[in-house]
Amino acid sequence: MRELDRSAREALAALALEAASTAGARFAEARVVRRTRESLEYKDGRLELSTLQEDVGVGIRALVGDGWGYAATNLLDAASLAETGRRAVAMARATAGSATRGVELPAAASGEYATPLREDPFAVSLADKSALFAEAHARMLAEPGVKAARGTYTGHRQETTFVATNGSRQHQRVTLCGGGVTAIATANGDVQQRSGPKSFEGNVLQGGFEQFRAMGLPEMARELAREAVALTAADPAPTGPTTIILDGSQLSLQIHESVGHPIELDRVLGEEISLAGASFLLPDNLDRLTYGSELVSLTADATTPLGPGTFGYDDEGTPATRTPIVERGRFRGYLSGRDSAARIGRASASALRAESWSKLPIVRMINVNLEPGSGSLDDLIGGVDQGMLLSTNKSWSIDDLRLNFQFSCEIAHEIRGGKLTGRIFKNPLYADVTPRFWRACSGIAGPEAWRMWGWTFCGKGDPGQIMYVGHGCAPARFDGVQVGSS
Amino acid sequence: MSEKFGETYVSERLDRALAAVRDDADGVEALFRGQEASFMRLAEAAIIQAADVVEGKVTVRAVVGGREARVVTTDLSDEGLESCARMAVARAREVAAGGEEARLAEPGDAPVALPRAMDAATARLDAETKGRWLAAGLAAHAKDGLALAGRFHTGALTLAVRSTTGVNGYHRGSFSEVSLSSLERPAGHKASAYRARTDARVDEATVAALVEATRAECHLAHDPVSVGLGAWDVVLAPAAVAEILMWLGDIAFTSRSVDDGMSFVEGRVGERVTGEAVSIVDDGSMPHAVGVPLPFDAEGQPKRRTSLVERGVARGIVHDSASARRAGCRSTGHAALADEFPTSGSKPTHLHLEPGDASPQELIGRLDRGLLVTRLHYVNGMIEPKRAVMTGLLRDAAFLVEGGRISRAVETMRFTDSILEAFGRIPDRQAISRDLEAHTGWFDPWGCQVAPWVLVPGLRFTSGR
Repeated sequence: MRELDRSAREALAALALEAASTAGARFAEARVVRRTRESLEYKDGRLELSTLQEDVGVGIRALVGDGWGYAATNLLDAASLAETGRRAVAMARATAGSATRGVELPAAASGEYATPLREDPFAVSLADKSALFAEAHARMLAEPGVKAARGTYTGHRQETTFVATNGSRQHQRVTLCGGGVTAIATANGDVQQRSGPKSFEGNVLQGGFEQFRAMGLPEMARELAREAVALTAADPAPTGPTTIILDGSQLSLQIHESVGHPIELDRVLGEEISLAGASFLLPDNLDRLTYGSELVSLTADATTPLGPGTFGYDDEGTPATRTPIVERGRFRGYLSGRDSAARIGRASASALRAESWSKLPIVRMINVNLEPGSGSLDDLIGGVDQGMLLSTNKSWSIDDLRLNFQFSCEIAHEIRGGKLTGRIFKNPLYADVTPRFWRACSGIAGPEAWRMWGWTFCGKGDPGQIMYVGHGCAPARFDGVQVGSS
Repeated sequence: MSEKFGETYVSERLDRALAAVRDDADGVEALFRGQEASFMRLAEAAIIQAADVVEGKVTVRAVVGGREARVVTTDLSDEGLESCARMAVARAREVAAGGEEARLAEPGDAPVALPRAMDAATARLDAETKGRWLAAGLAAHAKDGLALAGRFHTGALTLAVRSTTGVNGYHRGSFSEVSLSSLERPAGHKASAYRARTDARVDEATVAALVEATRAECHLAHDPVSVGLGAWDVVLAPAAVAEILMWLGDIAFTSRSVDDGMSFVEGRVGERVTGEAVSIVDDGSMPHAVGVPLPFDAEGQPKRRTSLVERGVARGIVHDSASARRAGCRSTGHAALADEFPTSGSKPTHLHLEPGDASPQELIGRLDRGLLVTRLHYVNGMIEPKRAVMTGLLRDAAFLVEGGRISRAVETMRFTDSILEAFGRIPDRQAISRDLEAHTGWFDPWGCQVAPWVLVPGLRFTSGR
C-alpha cells in the first residue's frame, strides 16, 4: 500500500470536505481511515492461514437541513472524492425530508491519540509469533485424547484523520494485539473444547505485542488440553437453580450482552429495531431502575488502559469520556452520540463509532466495565455452599429487548462447602432475565482479580458492522440462577 | 452514479497485480470484490440514515515453495496493487516450510449462465426513487400510529478472479435487500411484524406489498399473550427457517467443522441424520428464481449444486480446492470470501431447504394447537454442534394457532433444541411448503439462504421473560 502520511490524509480529507460543502452541506465531517490487520490461523502448531488486510478510504458525513447523509469510497483521486462529497449531500437530502429534530453543531475539537505500546505487532517476525503457537500446540497435542489444537492471532492498527467544517482536526492511531488457543478432544462420539485465555478470537487488547506475549499461551496449554479430554468423560451439568460464579472471560460477555447493548441509546430510541433490536431501558428508567444489587457499579469508559474501546475521540469528533452507567445498583446513564444524547437532554458519551471508512458511525460500545469489589476468586468460592464456577463462553443469545438471555460455557467446576470439589460438568448453560440476574449479584472479586477482556467482533447496525470493544471485570457470583445442560 | 468496476477496469487492475510478481512466485491469484451500493434505514416511520458506498478491494494470494499468504488492499493504484502483490510473496516466503502443500486452483468448468443476475435498474436505484417508493407506506404507518423500521439496500456487486494457473472469471450482478418491521410504540415493546426479501431485482410493487403485509400483520399481532413453555408444534416461516439454515451451514457443512470433528456430518456420510422430508443443497444458480445468484467462488471455481442432506441422509459438505484435494474430490466452488473473520477452508453460501408439496395455509391448518413463528431472533448454534443444538427466541409476530386457525399473538419465548431431532420430526413433504423465500441473516451480499415454510412438531421452548 502506498504511504499515506498525515499531511496526505489531511489533504484528502480537505478535498472531501470541500466537495460536500460545495454540494450544499451546512456542516460536514470527513474521516480518512487506514486499517492494517494481520490475521493468523494456526492448526496443530502450523500456520494454516496468513492474511494481511490493508484498507484505506474516505467517509464523508454531510448535514443538509437536519438530515445526515453518508458516502464513502476507496477511490482517492480528486474526481472520485468530489463525487463522493456530492453523494453524501444527496443522501443527506434523502433523510432531511423526514427529519423532525434540530441538529446542534458541535464546537471544534482538535488533538491526537496514539496507543501506548512497547513492541509494535507489525514489527514482530512471523517466526516469533508462530513459535508461541507451536509451543502451545505441542503441549496440547501431547495430551492423549486431543484431536486438534487451534490458534488465532490478531494484530490491528487503525489510523484515523478526522476533519470537520467547524475546524476540528484529529489524528489517532489505535493498535490492538492478541489471540488465543483451543484444544479439541473427541471420545465416544462427543467433542469438547477448552480455550484460553478466552474463546473465539482469544483476548485482543489495546497495546503492542507485549500484551499478547504476556497472555502466556504455552503456559496455559497443558491444563486446557487436560480439561478438554476430561470433559469428554464428564457428566452434563445438573439442572436447577443454583449459585454460579462466572470467570472473567464469561462475565465480560455477560456484561457485553446484558449491559453494553441495552444501554445503547439509539437502540433505546428504536433506531436499531430492524435488525439488532431494542432495549428494555426506556428513558423513564433513568435514575430510577434498580439494575443490580448494591455491589454492582458499571462504567462506560473510553479511557481505560488496554481497553479496545479506548481512544482520544469518537468518530464524530467528541473527546473520550467516562460515563457512569450503574452506580451501586441504580441505572444512571447510556452510551450515546451527540444527537441521541440531545434527545434526552444529556451530553454525548463519546460512543459514536464506525468500523472503518466504509461504514457510517452509529452508537457503539466503548469499554463497559464492571467496577471491582473485594477479595479473591477463592473468597467468592468460599461463600458458596453448593454451586458452580462457569468458565469460557461457548454460545450466547439474548432477546430483542435484552431481557431473557442464555449462555453456555465450555466447562463447569462443581463447588460444595465453599470449595471446588474437582468434579467438572460438560455442556453447562444458564438462563435468566437481565435485571433479576444483576440484582442477584452477591459478590465481585477485587482489583487484584480485575482485568480487561477484548471482543473484536461486536456486531450492530443494518447493514452490519463490527467493532472492537472492551470489558474490564473481576469474577463475580450470582445466586439462584437457572442452570442446566444442553 | 456511473459504473466504477466494469470488466475492462477490473481485469486491468488484476493483471497489474499479477504482473508485479509473476516471476517471483510459483503461483499468484488475484481476487477483486467490488460493491457500489446505497441504502436507507427507517425507524419511527422516518428515513433516519442514508448512505452510498463504493468499495473495491483486491486480494492477492501468493504461493512460494508450497507455502502461501494472502494480502488484501483497497489501494487500487498501480503502486498500491504492486505493493500488495510483493507483500503477499514476501509473507509467503516467511511461512515455515512443511505441512500441507499450498496450490492454486486450476481453471474449472465454465460457470453456468445466470441471466437473472443483473437488473440494471436495481443496480442504480437512487435515494430519491427509494424514498418515493416508501412514501405511501410511511404515511400509512403514520396514520395508523405505527412505527415502520427497516433497510432498503440496493446496488451492484462485482467479483473477478485471475491467476497464473489460467483462472479468469468476471461477474457483475445486482442485489436488493428490503427488510421491514411494523411496530406499535414504544417500538420493540409491543406488537410488531416483519417482512424481508432478498433478490437481484426489486420494483415499486414489491416494496409496496411488503410494506402492506407487515402493516396488516402488526395489527393482527396486537396485545400478545403469554403461553406456557414446553414442546410446541410450530410452523416456521421462511425467515425463521433461513436463520436455522445459516447456522447449519456454519456448524456442519464447512471443511473446518469436519476437520475439527465438530460437524454432525463427520463420519456419518450416508447415514440418516434427520427427517426424511429434509433435503438441503447449496446452489448458487438460485434455481427457484429467488435470491441473488453467484457463478463462482473466491478461487474462480464454478459453484456446483451440492447435495448436503438428501431425504434426511448426510451427503457431504461444500469444498474449496484445498479441502477437495484432501477429500479426493473436485471443488464445489465454496472458497470463503469473508474478511472480517478470515478462516481457512470452505463455507456454504446459498443453502436451500428443498420445497415440499403444501401451501403455508395448509401447514397452519394442520396445527391443532401450535404456534406460527414468523421470525426468530438471535439464534445460536454453537451449544452442541454434533447434535445441532440451537437456541433462539420468537420475534415480531408469533401467533397461537388453534384448530388450524390463527387465534392471537403470543409473547416471546426461547427455544433450545436439537435441530436434527426437531427436523427429524417433520412428518412428510406435506409439512413443507412449495413457497420459498430468500433471506440474508447479517447482510452478506455474497450469499443468502432459501427456505420454505416448515411444520416442526414438538419444538422445545425452555424459558421466557
